[in-house]
This record gives sequence, structure tokens and C-alpha cells, in this order.
Amino acid sequence: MLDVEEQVARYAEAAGELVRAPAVIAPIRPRKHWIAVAAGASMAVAAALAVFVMVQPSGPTSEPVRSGGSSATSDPRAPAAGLTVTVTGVARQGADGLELCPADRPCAGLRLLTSVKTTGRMMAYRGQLTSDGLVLTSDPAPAPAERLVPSVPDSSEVERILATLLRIPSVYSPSVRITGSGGDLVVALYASDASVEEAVRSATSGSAVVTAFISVLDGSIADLPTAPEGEIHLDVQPAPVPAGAFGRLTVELTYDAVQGCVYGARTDTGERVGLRWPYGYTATDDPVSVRDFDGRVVARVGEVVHLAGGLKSTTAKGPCGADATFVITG
Amino acid sequence: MAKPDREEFEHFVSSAEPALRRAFVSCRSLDLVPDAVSASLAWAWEHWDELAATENPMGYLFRVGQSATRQRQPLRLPPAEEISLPEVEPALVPALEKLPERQRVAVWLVHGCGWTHREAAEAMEISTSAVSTHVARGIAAVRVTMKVNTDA
Repeated sequence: MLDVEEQVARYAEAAGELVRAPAVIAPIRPRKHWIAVAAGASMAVAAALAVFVMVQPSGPTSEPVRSGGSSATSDPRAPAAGLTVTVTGVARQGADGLELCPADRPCAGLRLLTSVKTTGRMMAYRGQLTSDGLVLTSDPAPAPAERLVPSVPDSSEVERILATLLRIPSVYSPSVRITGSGGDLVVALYASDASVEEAVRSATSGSAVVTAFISVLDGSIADLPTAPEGEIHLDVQPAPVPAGAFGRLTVELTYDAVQGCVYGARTDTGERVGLRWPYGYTATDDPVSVRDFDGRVVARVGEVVHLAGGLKSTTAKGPCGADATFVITG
Repeated sequence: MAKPDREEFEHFVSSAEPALRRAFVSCRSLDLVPDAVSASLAWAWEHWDELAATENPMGYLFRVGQSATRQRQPLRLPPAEEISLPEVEPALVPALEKLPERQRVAVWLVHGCGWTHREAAEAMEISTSAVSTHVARGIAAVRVTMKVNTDA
């Protein structure tokens, strides 16, 4: 048998080979630490209350919005003309992680106060869970655009900028948002390169700050790897989105051979929960396993998994015949 | 600040990337290692002149990667059986995991990566004599743990 020092050398060499090399090594500036901070903040919020709110640019509204309301998903690149808020799920923090609040068993007494940033102005929404579901009501006086985005004169100008941004090739609309942050106009993208940043600068007359999860410093975002395809249908995000965790869900990963899909079975009640996995995740057969973007197995059927993310739907059927969908972010 | 030309940088990456990958296994779980490597190399790209001025670029990049990532869970090394190394006793892995982080990193960098005590010292921001102490105590502790586990 080798001495300990030699064993350490052999083992370290083999262990280093086990690690996948970064898909695109350089020149890429990873921003995962930013994501981690964002997720941490969200988890802190989730300790008090967890709610998943999806905001879609669409027609203008000033009326109360009810859960299960319409969402504008037909054309994700459509220019924004206002705001529709769709509340698609509710949950609260329980003793054993996130408690789901399905439509037929609402979490009595749950109240929430949240704010939604819109194109050019910030509207505060007050929400209350009722027997009809969650009802959001906008506060009467939205903040004027000038206070939030001083470099842009009015909301119509912001909307023009957004419409221009959405026409930039390679800017995936679900990853684009414009917010007023400390008075700056911030365009947050999943990935950017020099041409995208130049296009954003041009569209905003240089007034915008671009932040990106991945910045390709020398090259094109077209060089980034594309999502793989799996053998079994898996409900996944259509595009990479920044991580944000609103709560935690513990389920046993289960395969429905009839429908050919994967779902989560709650460990306490066996209730079926549809799972929407992050962009690029796939499912493979024999044995049924879920893999991440890089093909690494992250979960196998029969395993109990702890998922971070948020509940999406209490009304529409989720994937795999589930009553609700949990959008996984980590 | 001057950037390297692409060919020059790719040549650097071809040697630095595997070495950093191996080094980071000592203190980051396998899913975090690529992030640490990426952060290191991205920093190298953006601070090429600064890196060139350092005496021990690998040690510097090791610190950059450590700063850019956080190991929140107890470190789990891959089991020896998983990587099919019959010459490595299975008891080695838990013995390494059991070491205090500084001892494990010192042992790993010196014996696992072939770094000199001075290079490891710069990477760990401690003195060379401290590295020697960590390595000696770490190896001794691994021997004891492995003997106990093997005899049991």
C-alpha cells in the first residue's frame, strides 16, 4: 500500500478530474455571488411570509387583481403598454418549511403587503387572502416616474426604451426588466456582451446601467452553450432567470409512467406537486433522473429532495396533472 | 488596464484551469469548484497586468476563487470508491474530511497538488512555517484516523 502522502496525491489528481470544467471558461465574468445574495435576501423575507407573484407587462390596469387572473404570455417580446399583475400562488412559512395554500384549503388569515415595480413608475399593492383567493389592490397614488428614474422624463419614454430593448437580438425578454433603483435606470439581463451593451446604451441614450448574470467580455453571447434536450418531458423555465427563493418545498421525486412526466409527491400527504425546473434541466431514463444544464444528476426518482423557489398556481392544473406548480430556483 | 490577447490567455488557462480545479477540491464542494475556477480566471482576464506582477499567480488566483465562493455546508470529498482508485484506502477520504480546514488545505496543496510550502503559504496567507506545521499535523492525524478506521 502507498504511503499517505502518495495516496493524497493520487486521490487529489483523480478528484480534480471529477470536477466538470466551466462550460465557458473565459472571458466570462460570473455573477453567481450576486445571485446568492439575492436568494439570501429572499429567504429572509420568506421567513415571515412567502408569496409568489408573477408580473407581466401587458394592458394597463388600476383595478384590483385577483389570483388566477389573465397573464400576457402569448408574445413575450411584445412591447409593454402598462401592467397586469397575476398572482398565481400563495404559500406561507410553516413549522416544516413552506406550506402550500391550495384554492380549496386557503391559509386563513394570511395577509401580505408587497410592491411591484412597473415600467416607469412604482405601484404599491396591498393584498389580502379572501375566500375568493388573493386580492391585490393598488395604492391610489403611484410614485411619479421622475422620482424613480430621473434620467428619463416620463413613463412613455421608459416604455419606448423597453420596446426598443425587446427588439435587440439575443435579449431574452423574460430576463429583461427595468426598475428604478436609487434613481438609476437599470437594465438587468441574463447575459450580455459588448454589442448588447452598446445597443442598450444606444436605446437609452447612455442613461441606463446594464447588469448581467453573465458578461461575455470578449466574444458573443451566441457562443454560450444552448440548453440540452432530455429523454423524458420536463417542465422547465423557457429562459435563464435570476434566482430568488420565496420558500422551501420537500417532496419525493416521482415518475408518472402513464403521462411520462416527473412530479413531486409531498412527503406528508402524498399530494402531487408539479415542478418547473430551471432552464436547461432535463430528465433521462433508466433510472429516471433529473440533470442540470451540464448533465449532472441533481435528483433521482424515489429520492426526497428539498427545493427552493415559489408556488405558482392554485387554479390551473400544473404539469403532470398536479394542482399546483412549484417553480424551482435552487 | 491591459488585457492579454486571446491566444496568450487561452494558453494560460490550459495550464491554470486544471491546477485550480484540483486545488479548490480541498476546500469547495464539487459543484462550487467550477464557480471558484471561473471567478479566478475571470479575475485573471480583467487584472492581467496585476497578476503578471505577482510572484505566485496560482496562489493569488486560489485566494480570489476562495473569496468569490462560500462553502456553506460541511465539505464532502468524493468517495475513493467512486473514482476507482484501488491504491487509495477508502479510509483516506473521511480522514481528510475530518481535518480542520487549514490542515486539509495545506496537506492537499503540498501533497495533492505538488505546491511548495512557500506557494501554499502565499495561497493560504500564512507563513511557510505555519504551512509546515499544518502539513505535519494533518498527515499525522490522517494516519491515526486511517489506522483506527482500518483496525476497527
